[in-house]
Amino acid sequence: MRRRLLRAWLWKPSVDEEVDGELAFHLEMRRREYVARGMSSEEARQAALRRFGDVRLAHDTCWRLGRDRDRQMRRREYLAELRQDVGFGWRQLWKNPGFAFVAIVTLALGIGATTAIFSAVHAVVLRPLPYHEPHRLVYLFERWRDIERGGVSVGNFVEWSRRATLFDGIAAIQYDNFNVTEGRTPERVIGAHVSGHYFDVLGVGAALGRTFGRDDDQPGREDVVILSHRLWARRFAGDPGVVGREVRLSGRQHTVVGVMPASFDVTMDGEELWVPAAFSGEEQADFDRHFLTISARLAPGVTIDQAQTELATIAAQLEKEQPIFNAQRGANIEPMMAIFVGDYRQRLFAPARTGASRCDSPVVRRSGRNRQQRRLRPRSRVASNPVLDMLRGGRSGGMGAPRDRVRSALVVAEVALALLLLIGSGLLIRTALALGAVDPGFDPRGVLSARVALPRDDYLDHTRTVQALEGMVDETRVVPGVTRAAVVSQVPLGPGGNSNGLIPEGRPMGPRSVIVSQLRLVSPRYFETMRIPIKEGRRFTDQDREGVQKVMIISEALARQAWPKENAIGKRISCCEPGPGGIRTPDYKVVVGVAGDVRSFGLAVSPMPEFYLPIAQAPSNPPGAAWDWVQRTMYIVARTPTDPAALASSVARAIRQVDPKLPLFNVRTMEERMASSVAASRFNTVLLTTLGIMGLLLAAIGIYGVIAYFVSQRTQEIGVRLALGAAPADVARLVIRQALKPVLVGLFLGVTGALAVSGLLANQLYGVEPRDPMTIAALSLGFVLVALLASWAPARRAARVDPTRALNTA
Amino acid sequence: MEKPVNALLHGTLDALILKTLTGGPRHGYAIARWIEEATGDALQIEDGSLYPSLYRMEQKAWVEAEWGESELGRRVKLYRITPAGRARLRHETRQWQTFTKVVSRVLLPA
Repeated sequence: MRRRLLRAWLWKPSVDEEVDGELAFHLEMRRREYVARGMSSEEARQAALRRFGDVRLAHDTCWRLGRDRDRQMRRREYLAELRQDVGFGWRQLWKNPGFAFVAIVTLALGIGATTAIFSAVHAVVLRPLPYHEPHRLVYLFERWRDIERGGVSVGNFVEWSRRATLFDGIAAIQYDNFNVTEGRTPERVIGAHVSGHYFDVLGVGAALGRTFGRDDDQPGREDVVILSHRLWARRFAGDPGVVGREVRLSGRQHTVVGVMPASFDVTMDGEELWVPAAFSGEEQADFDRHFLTISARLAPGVTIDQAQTELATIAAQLEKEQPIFNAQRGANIEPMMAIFVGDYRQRLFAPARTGASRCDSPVVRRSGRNRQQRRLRPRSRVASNPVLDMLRGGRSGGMGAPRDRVRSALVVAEVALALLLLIGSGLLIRTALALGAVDPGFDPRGVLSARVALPRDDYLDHTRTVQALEGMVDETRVVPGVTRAAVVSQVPLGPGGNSNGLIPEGRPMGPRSVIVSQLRLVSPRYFETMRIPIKEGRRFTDQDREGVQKVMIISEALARQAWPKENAIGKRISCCEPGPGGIRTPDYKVVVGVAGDVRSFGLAVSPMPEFYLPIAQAPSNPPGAAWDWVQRTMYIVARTPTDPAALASSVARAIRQVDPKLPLFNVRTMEERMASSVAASRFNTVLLTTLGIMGLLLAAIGIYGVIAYFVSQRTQEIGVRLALGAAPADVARLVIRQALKPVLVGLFLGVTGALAVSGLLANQLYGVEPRDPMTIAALSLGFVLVALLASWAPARRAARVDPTRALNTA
Repeated sequence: MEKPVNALLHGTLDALILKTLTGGPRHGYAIARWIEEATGDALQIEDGSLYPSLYRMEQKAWVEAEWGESELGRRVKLYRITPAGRARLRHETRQWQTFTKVVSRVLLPA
């Protein structure tokens, strides 16, 4: 019954042909009947028509009924097919648990990977910024030498805002820390000084109260604050009457004027409150210090390139007008979205494409369309019987049919992609190993570090500040378990830095002589605490104070740049006096020691030139300047032979001995800082390794599937070969040769691809070349082994084929 | 020869066709001829009404069609009765018996 239905279906004429043919046949038969009774042909035709009645009506009725019938039949057919296929599939899976397992694993891997990657992409890339028309938002940077995203000086910000025409608004942000003493224990909160335009540029209004206007952004009127939703909920209990309330921020009264909506909690630096920047006239003329973050909104219809061109022109003008401070300084513009998302876009999208292509794996593809072909296959197999082909002299079609070629192509693609991913992860794993062996330049074991912030109003006085810091060191040193303690303005591997331009004595006073170097203000025992070796000269002592010779310790990298072939000890170097005055009357300090290099900006980053000044000699012209440079925050570091994390609360208590209002924050062991400095590369390593291993698994499954099918298709041929005296080993070799062919092609493509794209990974690598031949060779070899393993079982099955049975089934 | 009967009772044509097909698969013209011969041409069916009836019964799965070759060597649609068709025929026959018995009792009093 089923076969008949199917045949009728396959060979059936269309309903039109069916009805027309049937009625025509009937009329013709009647005509012949009447002719046989003696009528003329024409009389017979007329009589037949009369006898028939309304031909058109009959035709239409039949046509309609026939069409309905076909529709019904198709539906019934489809449901029957479906039932049958489900049953067939179920029985096949039940009979071949191995295959079932492989199919399920393949699907699970594909679905899982796609879901995971999509979730990551969605969270990181697709979630839009909570701003109005975010595609028009950009960041502006100063470009200086090889620094692409440099901070902007207030002077340049003011000039850019005044001269640029292609922006709807330009706003400056200066991140800062604030001590919030409102309510319970004091808390350190990240905040920002923003210029008046800031919220207008982002296009976000306040949820309560208002955002800043031009009036707030004036010196003397800046004691207002806008709270983030998070901070408002946390420290002000979500009080709806908070607007108008007075709060103390770092010891200074501020009036709350607004609360931002919850959607605004996603901020670049996690800042939770905003106060007006209110740059003074003096600050607005400052082209020397480059610390501002600038966000801007492009005018409608303006492209990034147009804005970039205009900004570059303005920067060139400013370079002429400010030859000292703006020498070699350009401008750079980047979409805000790109910065927010970072390089995750690139990191995530490449694998996402790979994940999606898994949907084309042979198991999925086969289930859909080829139902009828499959059922008809016995017949077609007879037609191209490999035995007959072979006996006729042909080399037979085992892998020749188009569908088999598709399968081979999928194996090739799987192998190529998996190898590509594995080479990437191999390189990153080698990077991780190399980084593990890198000497950071200090001994991170047993060191606790924590940040402490000095409120500007309480610590304006230089001497008082130094005393407080020395007090903190003394209090920390007597904490049980602590063997050494010190303060430093920037711990290695911490966030940010303070770069300064130094000019060694004897060089001409001009931009070309400047060596960019990182400043660290330290207390005397910093080097012992961190175990940074002093290579030449001496450490700082308690005698390095105000009123005596000003001294500095420089890093080896700085010594090499400043005096390449000479001993640096006793040489003088000018630094740290702001403004043109510092250039005209340089303030020299004597180098008393050369310290070992420290990898302060990440283990994979070569050490930068650094210089150390004792806190007691911190530049104090203008008053407090040095403390402002370091954002009035210092790190306290303490070494212990035991677990440094256990010290946290006692160190916090020691700091409170000095000033109960000073909260300790960002408390971490130096080993934690080391770990997080390699977190990005570890993220990549994990991602690529996972994808690579999944790719390897899928490729192995693919190879196994193709070869197993190949063997089952050529069982007869193999039987003949065996019957003709081939050794089982020969047969196994034949099968494995077949298996390796697409694998080798895939490996070739994978290696070629890896050579082409591994440059993209270059900035993530350390201690290994992007085209490292060792990694590529080892992984390719590994792949060949996996391929051999995957074809092992089918090859063994082939070698055990019983010649007689194989021939009988032919 | 009796006088031709033109109007057929509802369902009767279906029953006649099904009865015809119990002798084996036939094409439409053969069905018409068989009915004419079996009734001695007394039952003049309009040929045109035969085919809608066949298509309707095909849809109800009382008959099914397959394509075969005719006497003239043309591809032709052959109808065959299905088990459902046989059941229908039995039902129609019983109905007919009841109907004639009842109507006869009224019209032809013994």
